[in-house]
Amino acid sequence: MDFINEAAAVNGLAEEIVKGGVCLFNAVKYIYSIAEEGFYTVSIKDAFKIVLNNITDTDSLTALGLRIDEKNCGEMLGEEYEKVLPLMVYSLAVRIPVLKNLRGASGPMTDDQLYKVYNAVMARGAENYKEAVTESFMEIKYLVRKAKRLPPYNADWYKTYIYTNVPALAEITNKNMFLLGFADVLFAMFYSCLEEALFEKIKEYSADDFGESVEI
Amino acid sequence: MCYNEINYAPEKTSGKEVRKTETAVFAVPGSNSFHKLELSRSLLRFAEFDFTYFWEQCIEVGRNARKTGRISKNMENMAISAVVKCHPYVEACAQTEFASVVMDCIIAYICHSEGIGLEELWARCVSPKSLYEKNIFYRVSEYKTSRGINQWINIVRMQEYARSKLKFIYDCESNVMLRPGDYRARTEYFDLAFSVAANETGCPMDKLPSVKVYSPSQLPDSVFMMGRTSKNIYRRLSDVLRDAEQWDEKNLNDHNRDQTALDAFSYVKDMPRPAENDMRFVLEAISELPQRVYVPDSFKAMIDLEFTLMSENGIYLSRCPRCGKYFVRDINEKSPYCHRVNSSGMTCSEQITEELGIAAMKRNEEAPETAAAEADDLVSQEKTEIPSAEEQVPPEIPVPKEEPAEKAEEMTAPVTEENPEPIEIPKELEKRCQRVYNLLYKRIGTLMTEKEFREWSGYLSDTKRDLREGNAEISQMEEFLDYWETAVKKQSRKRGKHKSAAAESEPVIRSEPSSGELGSLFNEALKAAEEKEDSGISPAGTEAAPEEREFKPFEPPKYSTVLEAMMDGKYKSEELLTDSVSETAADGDITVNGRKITLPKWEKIKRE
Repeated sequence: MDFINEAAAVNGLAEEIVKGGVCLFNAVKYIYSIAEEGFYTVSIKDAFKIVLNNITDTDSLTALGLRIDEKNCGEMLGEEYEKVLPLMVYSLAVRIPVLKNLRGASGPMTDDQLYKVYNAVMARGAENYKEAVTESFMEIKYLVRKAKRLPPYNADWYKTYIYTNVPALAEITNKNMFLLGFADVLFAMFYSCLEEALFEKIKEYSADDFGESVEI
Repeated sequence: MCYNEINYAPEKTSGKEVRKTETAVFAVPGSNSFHKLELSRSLLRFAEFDFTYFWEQCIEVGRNARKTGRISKNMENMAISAVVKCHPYVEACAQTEFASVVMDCIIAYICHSEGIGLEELWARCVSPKSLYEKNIFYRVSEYKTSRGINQWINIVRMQEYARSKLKFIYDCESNVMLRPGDYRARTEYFDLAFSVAANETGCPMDKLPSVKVYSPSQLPDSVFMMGRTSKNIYRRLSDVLRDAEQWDEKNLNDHNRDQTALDAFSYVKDMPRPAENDMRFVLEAISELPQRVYVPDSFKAMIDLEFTLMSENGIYLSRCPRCGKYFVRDINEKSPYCHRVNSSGMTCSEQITEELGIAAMKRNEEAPETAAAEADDLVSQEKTEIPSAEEQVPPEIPVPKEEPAEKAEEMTAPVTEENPEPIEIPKELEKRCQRVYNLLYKRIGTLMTEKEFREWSGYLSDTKRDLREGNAEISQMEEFLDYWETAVKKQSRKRGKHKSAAAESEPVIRSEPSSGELGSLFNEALKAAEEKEDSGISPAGTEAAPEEREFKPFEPPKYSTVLEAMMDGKYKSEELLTDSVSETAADGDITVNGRKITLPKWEKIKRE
């Protein structure tokens, strides 16, 4: 695909993916804090609406009175849990080949372009810590190229990681069960929205006219 | 100043009676100040408060925010300052509970005028494009998560509540005063009806509005409100408290109040009484504080408290059959007419006395033998409890129009703390005012229009009041009267050129009215009384009776009709939230002070 400025496009897309990862990371914390005080006053549906309408900014969740602090989500403030952030960004980065599905007049993004975006994301701190994420860039790339159905983005890697590495969240408590419940839904929906946002970004950077001939 | 549970402050003075204003002291959470509640006054002001100005200010704030993308703090503060006057509680909570009342008003306006719900408005603003939208989004989120309510709607509903309760307790068909026990019974019945409704709808009684009573040192924020004394105590206890174990808030609940309190007490149980000097200092600090402080947890609790305290202190209200407003009426007072000074500078009570006196004298001239009987009829029609016309207006009163003016002076000159040096209006000046008033009244339609006359009359009343309160000088009043006397004379001369005969009958300003003039004045007043129906102004220049008034006071809409009230406005909500501003360019952008602002492109979300 031809970009007006390829370097800017690569950086812009990488930035968007990293922001998305950070947003998902924070959104999990905010929604987890609902279980502390706002279980009967805050609707999780509202929280989802806010997150999915602002996929690169979770500040609006504070409007629901949610706070990320020791009292509300102290279990997520440990060092081990902090590793979830690079993991989340990585889990999104490995799915960059999916962007090939957007085809402009000059064709879809090339493998080289996709790889550049992936490298840019990795350079921003994404990391497959303890090999928690089982998917890989090459694997997704293969599936896209073969036009095979991709496995849905889910929270399996996340749950596995906290079971094995974050004891405070692995305990069977009301709050933790709440976390495991909403994580599955949130991860899948969030990725879907992020993918849409990335396609829009590509259109912004692309030299092609996307008028009405967008093929996804 | 020393506060007691209920304080008495002089409100009005006259030669015979001294009216008092009872006040109570209250505090609100989040504020370290004491606030004064003037019993009956606060309630009446709130019940009659006109919110139109505030509402218009809010619309202006919204319109401005729509253009600039943010709410102007100055404009918001101006609007808030307009609404806090409605009740001391609103003023006390202006920075806490009512801090977002302007935004609440804007939100209510948008929702009602566009016929959308809060959910839809919230969804529109979920990805805010400006600070204004973000503010809306945050505020609606507070409603959704039960962290706030729409305080504008709350105020309007509370006004309706206060009016309903006033009507229920104090309205009497025959305008008679009931026994104190009857008023109490009505109050209790009203409150009980509320409790029954709340109970039957499953509302837990401990969640309903309530008022707590404290001494100042037992207030929740007493440590900060009595800072100096608290610091001294802390210095004495610092050694003991330094190593004290801190409580975990989670462990505090309704069941262990005594336990936690006595744990706290254990740190002070061995504390000796301070030395005499220290105690004197404490006494000095304490003497400035009220003995009892009320802490209402909500606006309704505050309104209910005022009703209760009024009843406890023997303050009863009555609705004036003339102006339709409530006023404080003494339990032994027979006259049902109010002592509230209206735009004429007189009270309804004085005006009705004057009117009855004029009517009686007129009939006396026509048929002296039947005058007294007719006056009696008039009295019985107007009121059932007031004395007969002879008692009210003695026939020997030489100048019936001037007597009430003197009376007004006596009864209405307020002596408050803010007006330490009231000026007594000389009788001569009062007479002169009355004469000029009569002259101008006669010239409605020639020298000035009815509306102009009404404004003039209002100005005269204001100036009189300012004089009494010491805010104006007599010379100002004299200049004012000079001007109008001259104007009347000029007009008379002009008319004299065209109609010499008419010029002879034109009244001229004289220092003392002769007996011939008396009849002239009398005729003027009588004629004015006959014209009352047409003009909407009573002969004495007061507001007409409620049903005759042309300009009715603002009736804050009931909760269910707020929408209609808002829909009624001249503003379109699209100006607040959609792209219909005149400055909007074709591409949907506007330029403010050379800065281009991209307007959000709203799409209507349809309900599923």
